[in-house]
Amino acid sequence: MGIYIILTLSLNLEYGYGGQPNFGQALFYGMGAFMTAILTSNLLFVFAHYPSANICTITSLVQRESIAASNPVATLLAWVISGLVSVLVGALIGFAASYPALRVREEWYLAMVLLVAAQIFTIIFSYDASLGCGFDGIAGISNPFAWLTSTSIPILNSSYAFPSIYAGVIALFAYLCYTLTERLTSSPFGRLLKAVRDDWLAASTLGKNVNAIRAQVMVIGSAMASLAGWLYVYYIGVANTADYTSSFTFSIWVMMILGGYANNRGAIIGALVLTLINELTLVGSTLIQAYIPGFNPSVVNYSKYLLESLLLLILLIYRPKGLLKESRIRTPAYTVFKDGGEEQ
Amino acid sequence: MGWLPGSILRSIFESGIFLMISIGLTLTLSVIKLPNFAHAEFLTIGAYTSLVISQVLPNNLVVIILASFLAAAILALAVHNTVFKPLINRKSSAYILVLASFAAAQFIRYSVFVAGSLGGVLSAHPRITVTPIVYIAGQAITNIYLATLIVALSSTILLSLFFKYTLIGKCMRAVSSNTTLAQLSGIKIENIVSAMWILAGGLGGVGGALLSPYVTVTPALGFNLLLEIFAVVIFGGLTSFVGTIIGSLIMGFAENTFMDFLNIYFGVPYTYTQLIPFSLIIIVLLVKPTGFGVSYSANKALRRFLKEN
Repeated sequence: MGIYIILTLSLNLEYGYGGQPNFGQALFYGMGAFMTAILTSNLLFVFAHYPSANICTITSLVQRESIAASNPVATLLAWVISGLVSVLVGALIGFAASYPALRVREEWYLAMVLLVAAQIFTIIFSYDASLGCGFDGIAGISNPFAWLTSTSIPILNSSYAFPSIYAGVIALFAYLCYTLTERLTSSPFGRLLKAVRDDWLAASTLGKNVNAIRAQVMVIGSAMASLAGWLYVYYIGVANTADYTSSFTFSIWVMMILGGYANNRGAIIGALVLTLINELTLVGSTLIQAYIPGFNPSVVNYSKYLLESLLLLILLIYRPKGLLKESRIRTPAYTVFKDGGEEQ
Repeated sequence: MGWLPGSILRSIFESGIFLMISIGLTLTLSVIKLPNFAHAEFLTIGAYTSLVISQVLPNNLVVIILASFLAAAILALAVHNTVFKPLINRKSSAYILVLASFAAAQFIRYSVFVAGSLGGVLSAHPRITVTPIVYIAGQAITNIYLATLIVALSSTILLSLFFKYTLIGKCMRAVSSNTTLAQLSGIKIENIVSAMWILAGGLGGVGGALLSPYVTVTPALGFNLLLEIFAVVIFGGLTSFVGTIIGSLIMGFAENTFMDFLNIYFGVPYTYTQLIPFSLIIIVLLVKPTGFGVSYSANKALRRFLKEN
């Protein structure tokens, strides 16, 4: 949930405020995830003084899990380092992706280039076994707080303590990202972004470096997406290319459009609503299977995508601005002005 | 060099298929300037129509092709009327249109998924037998191969004749080069656009039907080819028919003969074939975003005329 919020916020920053249609969100997210998985599995062996081994084998998977369950220092260190590196890598790729973004001729070409780049990423990572273990992906990335079970602290060593702690960590990061985007978009930088989005020519005649601003917003957005990828891998425990497809990017777009274009609170609401729908279809499929034997459960699974696309079509046609309107900029000056207005 | 003749024949066949499936998108892009990501779904519908019809009338290629043209054309019209017309009338931005076509594509695709899993045809083969007719250099030329070539060539020729000599074709060109002027001179834009959708969807459907005997028909059939279609069209400069023909030839040869060459002499595995269209898109968009085709643009002709005099 928190992960989706981060992703939606980052897309909102890029498209809603910056006007850059990022159809390659899965690329940045997946890159963050794979960076994390590769680094973690190698770093764990280094920190725990194991001989380095092939990270794809089952034995190494078991070893990784045992280290994560017993060695808190190595686990946490690997967690933090892989997080920092994946955010950095995400920022770098975002910068690289902004290169074509500034040079393509027609509006939707950028969308095309990013979509294709995401697809290339998926293909390379799923066919080249030396990079990310191919189709199977890298498994055995334990929760960074899994070692709590082996401690003797009474409440914390129960089996649901560490998932809830990690959920808290994700929520904390989501909150940080929300604050960051809210701050950014309320700042002069946010106004500049909107100016570039609405009329880049006018902005550039006013002496603003449009290309630099577009590059900056791509860097921030993709770093956030990579951050989400990092959190996701530690949550789900495996980095697999099947999770980072264009339909995934599409879901994030639905969340953003649903919540409201250029509105950070809207982005959060969109992410929440869509995750709820996904969960409901999951519950629905289990219920239907329980009550109607012989019913094909994949139909319900497909209906999730049907609902998603139908929702987006209806939104685009009838309510293109989403649930919440584009928010006003909340600056200190604005609050003072508003308070003053009420006093009079 | 024993692999070469077979590989070249395969390339020609795939070029024909690529031409059939991407010429409709060229049409859409040139008349209403819409990058339609739902175009690939017309193929899926065409392939499924061929699957259904071939259960009733096996091996009747003419009926199958006509039926898939019809089915995909109806779908295209429906998509236009429900999704694109309201959005275009409201003058939505290109991104919104792209997103809407993405959503429409996903909707169609998963409808087919649901229908397919209810009908038990999630992956099936149509009842069209592929029989060899002639042998050239030890390679079999099958009936589908010939049909593909004939349909692709004849539809290209018919299309160009249609644009040159019929009134509706001329109107379509007028709308393509300047919509406002065309409207001012009394062309009913709505009818022209509908005709365009029928052609674009129908040709895509025929492409899908021709493809169906060779592959396993799945609901994701079209979607998997989507970026290849875009690669062909982008290579041809989006609006040019000549460009699309060249683009499909390049794609056909790059994915077969060139890939065989790389595989045999450099050991590049075939799984990387998919990377070819993607790299083509990125290279063309970055190096020469206007593509490599000549388009029907009246503006350009006028400018050239003025420059010469």
